[in-house]
Amino acid sequence: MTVEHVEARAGAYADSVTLMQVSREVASTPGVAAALVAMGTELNVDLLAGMGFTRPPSAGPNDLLIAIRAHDDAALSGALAVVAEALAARPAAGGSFAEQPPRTVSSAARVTGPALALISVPGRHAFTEAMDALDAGCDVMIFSDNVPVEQEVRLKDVAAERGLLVLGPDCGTAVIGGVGLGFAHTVAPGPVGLVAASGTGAQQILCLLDAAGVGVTAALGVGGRDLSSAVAGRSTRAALTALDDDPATELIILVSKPPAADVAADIRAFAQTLATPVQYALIGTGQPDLTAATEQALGQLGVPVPSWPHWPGRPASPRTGSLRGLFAGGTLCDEAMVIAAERLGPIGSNIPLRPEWRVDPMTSGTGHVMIDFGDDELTAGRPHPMIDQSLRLERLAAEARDPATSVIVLDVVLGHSAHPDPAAELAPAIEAVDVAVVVSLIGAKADPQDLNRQAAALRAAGAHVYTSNAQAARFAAELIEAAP
Amino acid sequence: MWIPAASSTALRDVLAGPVAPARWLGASASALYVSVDHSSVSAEGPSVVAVVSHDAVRLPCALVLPATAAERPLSALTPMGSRHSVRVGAGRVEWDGPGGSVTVAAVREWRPACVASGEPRAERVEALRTAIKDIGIAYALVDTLVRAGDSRAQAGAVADLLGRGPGLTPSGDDVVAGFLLGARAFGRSVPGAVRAVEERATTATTALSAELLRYATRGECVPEVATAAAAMTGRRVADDALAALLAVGHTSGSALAAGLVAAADVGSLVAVGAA
Repeated sequence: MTVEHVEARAGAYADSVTLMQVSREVASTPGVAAALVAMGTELNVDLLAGMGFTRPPSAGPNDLLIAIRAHDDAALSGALAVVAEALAARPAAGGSFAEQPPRTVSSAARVTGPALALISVPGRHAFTEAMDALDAGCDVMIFSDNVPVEQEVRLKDVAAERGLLVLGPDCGTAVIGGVGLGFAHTVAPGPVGLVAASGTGAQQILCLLDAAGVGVTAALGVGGRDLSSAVAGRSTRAALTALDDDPATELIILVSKPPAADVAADIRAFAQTLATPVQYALIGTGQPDLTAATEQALGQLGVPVPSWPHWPGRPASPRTGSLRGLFAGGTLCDEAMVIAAERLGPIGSNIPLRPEWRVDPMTSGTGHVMIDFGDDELTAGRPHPMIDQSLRLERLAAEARDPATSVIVLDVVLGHSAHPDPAAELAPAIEAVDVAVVVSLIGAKADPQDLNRQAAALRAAGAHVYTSNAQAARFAAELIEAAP
Repeated sequence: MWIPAASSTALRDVLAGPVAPARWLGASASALYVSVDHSSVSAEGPSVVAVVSHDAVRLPCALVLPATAAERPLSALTPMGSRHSVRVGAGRVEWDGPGGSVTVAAVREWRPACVASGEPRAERVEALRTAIKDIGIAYALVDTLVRAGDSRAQAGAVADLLGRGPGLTPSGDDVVAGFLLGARAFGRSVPGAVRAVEERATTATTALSAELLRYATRGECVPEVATAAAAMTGRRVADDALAALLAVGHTSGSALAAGLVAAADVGSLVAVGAA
């Protein structure tokens, strides 16, 4: 005489190995003749029938089958107790409150396993922390600026020996595994991978791609000096290789501030060896601007180029005079200078296209001038202009008072970590001046500041608003040319 | 309790849709699975949503939480038994947990891994073949799948694997998923296997496993499989990638690997079918 228990339990589940162990344990319980504990798939129900059990009337594949045949009731209830105990949730391991939290990057990496370490400490300490992270097997993103170039080269050489990646120093933006780091836009996953020796250059391209409905696999900032002669593209090569290995990346865009010519040539030769096509956006005279490079990339992907959003401002007939640029983004400033210089001639700057065009950024210059307020020299001891606009707002008023000023062009960069509502401060300042103001507005549709609302507020104040920095610069230069 | 999560782009439609009732499929410390009622979602939309810990295997249908299973065991957040309701939609998965209402909100997206195409390298196929350990079921079933001479035999071999094994994702299904993914990666035409999954998976195996098989027919999978497939075609360094696949789950990694190897072994059935 035997007793049988067949049950189909909904909402219960354990992994394969646990269920095999439970079945074995129950089957070896004294007085048990046969047992099966498994999900109720067709094959398992057949198996049950094959073992001589009654088919449960309503077992589905998502129910847990518990079938036991025992010699008597006592043995059966003993076996059921074994099942209940074996399937009971086990307490989770770890999580002791007495544990010390990690105090260093390497000890944190020992707890979690190596991952990406983001270093944001004053520049003179960044090397120590970054090397500690590399020693722990982590890829490193260095947000810090003011890191000496010899230290940058040393870190990148060590990373190369170990197959790791160093992003930065002065890597202001990155998108890795869908996570935006630093100054980051809310963009969708998609087929494009970005390698950027330029923070705001990458941001411009990310936002234009977003406007075209194209997302990214990753955006890897390699530091603004990576394509200089001193660093020679060390991280650019590593980042290109990483994206080439990523099957989801169909096209790579390489964006950089003006690179050293020999380094640019070497990188182009290196890119020829990759399986993934590379589109270049290297700022410089005779090179496609960021918008044109993005349009070429869209062409390669077979995505139609949209008309880049822009909001025309007050019809302007500006007075005769100079173009003044007030930029938060260095690459946006570079790009605007390249475009304007082709039409207007020399542009004075603190990051000049030619050494002889250098001007002191803190005094109003003469002639056409564009200042990068995000340059290291101007950010020491104060927040970046993308976060704190006060310096630029003062300068906007001062330039407008200068009778030699005809048109002012400036950038407004949205996204996480940037000012929560830049137009709220800028729009009144623009409304108060009587020169033409052109804004290049860098933002993605889903950014927290609301791209359309920012654009509408700036336009209502009289500004001409462009999402393409190149179009903004071209329009500003046209206004100067059209002035009497 | 409000918990932010990163959502697979594959869940975009089902999460963006109106709030729909769902039911529990299972819970462990590192993962929760719910099945979304299809009557209120599009017929093509996904039917299973997984909520997983940061350190869990990243299923293509998962919302990934920031905490690990040790830091926040998910089974502690879920009610025991299946009677309690769970709701999916409006960007959230919500239920009444033992300590009050729990909301898992999709605050950002990630794109599930997808196998890339290429021809497998013989020496890497052999390296993976020799590294395979216990696949949880008899290896003879995999051999039958490889030897299937025509589409009908292949469909039969797959039918014999679907739902085989005790767990929520039975080992036989892991083999079939690896086979479909390998076939897609290596350019093998396997119409019999695809048809068997389309026709039979929904009834033959668990809802979660059937869902993962549907993803596999599109080439979408856990990252370990995509990386291993890329290693087999020489797109990336082999050792770590193959070891990482074999480390998935208890037997799942080996079962998936067995499927990949089977796909590399199988000849094209198109010619046979035509003959």
